[in-house]
Amino acid sequence: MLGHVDVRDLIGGRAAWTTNGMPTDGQVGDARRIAQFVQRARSVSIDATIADVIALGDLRYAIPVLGPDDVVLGAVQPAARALPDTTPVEKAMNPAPGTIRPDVRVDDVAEQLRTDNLDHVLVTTVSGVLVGIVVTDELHV
Amino acid sequence: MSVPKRIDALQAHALLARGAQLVDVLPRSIYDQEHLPGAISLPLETLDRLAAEKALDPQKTTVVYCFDQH
Repeated sequence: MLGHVDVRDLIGGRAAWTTNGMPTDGQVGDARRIAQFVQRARSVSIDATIADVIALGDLRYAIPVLGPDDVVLGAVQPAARALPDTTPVEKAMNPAPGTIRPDVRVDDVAEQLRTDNLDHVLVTTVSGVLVGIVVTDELHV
Repeated sequence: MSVPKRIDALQAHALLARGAQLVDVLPRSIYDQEHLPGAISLPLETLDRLAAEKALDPQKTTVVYCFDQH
């Protein structure tokens, strides 16, 4: 570019940045992004058992099951506590939990969660890495 | 003229942390609404050598981005 020695092209442009949960500036910026409402999610690894899930304590929401690099491989619903302690989470988890990206606008998420009657949803990057959890009642829109 | 090397967002983040300069070539109105932290606005429709020389250091690594299509 115009005599520059080292120019890199960001694949996917601005959207690639925001879908990885990284911040932006500007008049609109991140103000209405769901990333502002994400809470830390307790999680277990793919080699955990239901005993590990129970050990996390109060289970009101699904517990993400993580593989290498914190990629979400599934989610264990609170009802799974009733299973034998030794049950591998791999056998108890939903292998395809619904997730959203951190760059979506909060109004859109709130509307969708209420339409689907969901009280929470997991947030991941575009690569599937866990960012956290969004609780419907915490979305003050 | 060499073709810019394509990088993903995490690679861009790492380069910026090491001092690379960041250029937003979107229209100014879109830049004003939202842009990556530290990005310099050089809208493609008005970009020329003079504007680039004025705003950028040609010896530094430059990361350029648009919206989501190129």
